[in-house]
Amino acid sequence: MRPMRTIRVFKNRSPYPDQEEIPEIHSAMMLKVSGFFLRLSLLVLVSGCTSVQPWERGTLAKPHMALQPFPSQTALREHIYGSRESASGSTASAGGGGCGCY
Amino acid sequence: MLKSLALMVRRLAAGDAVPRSASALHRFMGRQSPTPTLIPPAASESPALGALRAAALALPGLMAQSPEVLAAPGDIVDLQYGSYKQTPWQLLGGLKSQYNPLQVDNIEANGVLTFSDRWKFGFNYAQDTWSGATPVSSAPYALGGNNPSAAGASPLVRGNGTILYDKKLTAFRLDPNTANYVPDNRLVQTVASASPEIRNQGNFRLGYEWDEAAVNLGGGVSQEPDYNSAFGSLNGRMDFNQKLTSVNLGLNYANSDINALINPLYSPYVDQSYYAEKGQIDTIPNASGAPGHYLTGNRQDWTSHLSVAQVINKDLLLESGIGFTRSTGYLGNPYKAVDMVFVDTQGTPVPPVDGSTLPPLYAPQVQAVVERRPEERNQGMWDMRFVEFVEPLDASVHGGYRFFIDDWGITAHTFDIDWVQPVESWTVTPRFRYYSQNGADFYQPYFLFQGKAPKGPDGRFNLAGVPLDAYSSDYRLSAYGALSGGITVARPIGKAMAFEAGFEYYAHAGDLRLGGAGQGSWSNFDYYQFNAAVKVDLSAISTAKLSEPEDHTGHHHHSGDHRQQHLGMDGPSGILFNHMLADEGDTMVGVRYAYALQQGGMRHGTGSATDQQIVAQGCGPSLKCTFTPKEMDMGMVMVDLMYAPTDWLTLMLMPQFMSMDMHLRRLDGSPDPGGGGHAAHGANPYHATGGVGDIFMGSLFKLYEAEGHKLHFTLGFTAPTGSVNQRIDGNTEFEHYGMQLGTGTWNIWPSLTYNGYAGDFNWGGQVSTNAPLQNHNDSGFAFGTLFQTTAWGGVQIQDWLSGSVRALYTFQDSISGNYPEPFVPSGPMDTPQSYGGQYLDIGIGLNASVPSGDFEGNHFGIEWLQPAYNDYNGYQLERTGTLWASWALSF
Repeated sequence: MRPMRTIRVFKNRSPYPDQEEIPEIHSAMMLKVSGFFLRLSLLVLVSGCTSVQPWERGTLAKPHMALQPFPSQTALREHIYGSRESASGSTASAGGGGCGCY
Repeated sequence: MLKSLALMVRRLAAGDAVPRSASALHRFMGRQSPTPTLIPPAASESPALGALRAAALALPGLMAQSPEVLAAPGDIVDLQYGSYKQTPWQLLGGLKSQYNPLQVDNIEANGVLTFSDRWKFGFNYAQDTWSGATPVSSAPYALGGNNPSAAGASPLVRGNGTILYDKKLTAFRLDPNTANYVPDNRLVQTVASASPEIRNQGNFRLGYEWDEAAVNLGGGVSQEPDYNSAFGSLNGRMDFNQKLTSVNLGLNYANSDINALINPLYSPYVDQSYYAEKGQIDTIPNASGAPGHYLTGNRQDWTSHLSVAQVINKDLLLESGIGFTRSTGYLGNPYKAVDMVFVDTQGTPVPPVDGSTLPPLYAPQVQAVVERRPEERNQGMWDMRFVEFVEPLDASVHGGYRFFIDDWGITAHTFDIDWVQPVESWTVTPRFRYYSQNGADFYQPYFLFQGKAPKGPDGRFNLAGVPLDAYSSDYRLSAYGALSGGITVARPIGKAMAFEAGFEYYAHAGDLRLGGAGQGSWSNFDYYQFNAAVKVDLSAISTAKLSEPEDHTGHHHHSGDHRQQHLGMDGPSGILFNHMLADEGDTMVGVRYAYALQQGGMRHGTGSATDQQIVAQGCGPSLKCTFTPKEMDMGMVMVDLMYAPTDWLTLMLMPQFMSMDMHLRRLDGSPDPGGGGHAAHGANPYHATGGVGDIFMGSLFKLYEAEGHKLHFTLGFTAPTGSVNQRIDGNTEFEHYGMQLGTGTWNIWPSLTYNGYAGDFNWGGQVSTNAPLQNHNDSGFAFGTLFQTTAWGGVQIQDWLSGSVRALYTFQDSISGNYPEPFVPSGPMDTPQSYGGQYLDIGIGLNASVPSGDFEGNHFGIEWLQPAYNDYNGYQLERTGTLWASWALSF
């Protein structure tokens, strides 16, 4: 009988329908992970002064160190996510991509 | 576009520290180059200058250009196939959708080429074909919406009146076993069929690179019968801090037009008044005269993205970015409806069944409405990625997080992690992804109102009286999570090619939302996705050519054009199997595209056919025809993969991908279409199919060779990998025979080919036959045996360009067997006798091959085949002509 919770009931003709909202739940885990990425991103900002000499860049040159080692596959999957999910579209739609009207 | 961006990002990140000639293949394959050494400074350079040059060479994708003619690193051509299959929707009560689950096939070709040092040209072509079941709406199970009614034109979205509500708005379902009502608040998707469609997208980018910056301009179009989009982009990159830091800025704009036929199955039951009042509904009569309602609209999307990539240390790369997208216009999905359910608990309850202990129950009024979304959407996102090298295993770990928020009330989180592990010559990459979103403010599985439905002065439902300005039941706007995992494997093949394949399993579930409390399990589904790609590294080919020994057999390898000519690659574009590979170890990769158009009048034998004739005779002796085709387009993409294990044998593999569509019209003087066939889906005059076709496997044997003369025999087979079970939109009936994607039978396909050359002239001839080895396929029929013979002549116009003329004679038998009962033909396209015939075509073609330079060995061909004589079996649509286009590269 759980789905009933997700249904809001609208009082007819009222401009402000009564709504039973789904409570926003943010788990501690999510905050933790987001925090990790936030710290990483701060690291990006403060690391402008790092120095990796050209002869130290052999590892970074490895193909599997590329940000996207399999760009065509990644693009195909992003296209699919974009048609199945609300959020992915913002990047997948970086030009075209069509409707996904199915 | 995304692809180009991704390629750009990859190049940026590659931070290439190896000389370009060392191992471009390994580089793009995801393998460590054998010796990552720096190019030593030239003798004349000062040590300081040399160090600078070395530093420049070592850095993200920006090689200093050297004078040798080589395709630059990163110059690739990539052919990819993808397949997506969804699991069936859970319809409860033992109901099974009459439609197959959603399936999408995708083929794609893209490439990046470097011209004149710093100019980059990227192109991408993609084709998607989809068909199958998709939810039109969701509703209480008690509504009974998925039950097809006897008439076939089921009031899908209004149910069959088996639902009541009590005062607390609990739904009660009529239990057919007890004829009494039981409380039942379960929900289900109301499933209809996705209109089978083909999407084509072509886009390009042009880029210029400086030592520490790059600019890319891109654009393209995406076309579907119901959705046309044009887009452009501008991206820039700047490197700082000795290229340890890169800043990327991208701007994109897309303008899309929507023109979607509202599913005739439920269109009469769905309120379209909101869009009708805005002038967004076009009513166009369809083939059977019933009105077709088209929802039209326009939308614009502006996207911007700013990111910074930073090398943190020799083993760690980070990237972080922010993006903003603003969309305006019609942002809805024209194929989605919502159910509005009004329960007047102040009214009179339905009379209870004798002895019932149930509370008073009220009959609701149910109204389906085309969904409506806000006409503006602002979306923000922030993302973060890292790539860390794991030294003990020579592996890398990639992780990312993306936060998304918009003003529709959706927030979403995406986490992904990949482990890229080189194992000998393979690269194995397991990966996981997790996605979670909140529902949009205006999303409800269905809209339940307490009170009477608003009515207009005419006593009918008045949508304007509903106090909502946005409503959608599209499950993609609900609260849910998705977990997916998969694996990618890649390895090099031969000198300059690579193979890549991936698999992913994806589970969408309400419970998977972060913190739970998502949508109920009724909207859960899974999908699996597979893809395979072949990549050709153009720079590795150039490198290989430079290192090739001088002409050791005396009759090839002088220059590009001679090589092409001696291979027979200057034969007309539309001739399959017309050349072998010259040397042991040679490889060829190519793509051939054929587009055949039939358009205009109907033909019978060598003359024309009238509608009256077709009605009376086109569907057999005992049946009258109702419909006839008025246009048919067939597109076929063939991927040519050839390899020569010895100089007298060439092996060939040729997967084929089909896309077809057909427009029908009602025949003059035809009987009423009745309840079945096209009439059941509103006589939709348009059908489309597409996907994987039959795959060809064969061997080419050298029979004779002398100066100026070559003869070879090809023995090949096609395997029935193409579907012969394509069904008509909105119906369970078979598609027309010619719209099936394959033959469904194993076929033998032998041919004998002669090529001759003298000076600037070439000529040749071929006989071939393609015959089924089985009497019928799983759908009960077999296409007729095909016999073709062709002869051509060609002349070299320039050293890179040749022209050809040819004649082609074709004989094909009609189809044997037929679709099983209860299939009823509705027109000649459903009649086995109306397939095949005898044809004579005249072809004119051009062939170009790049004789030298960066892209030596690339060969392009185009040919038009014009019908000169036609003798059709039965009644068929006039043949307009066939266009062939091909690209091939041998190395």
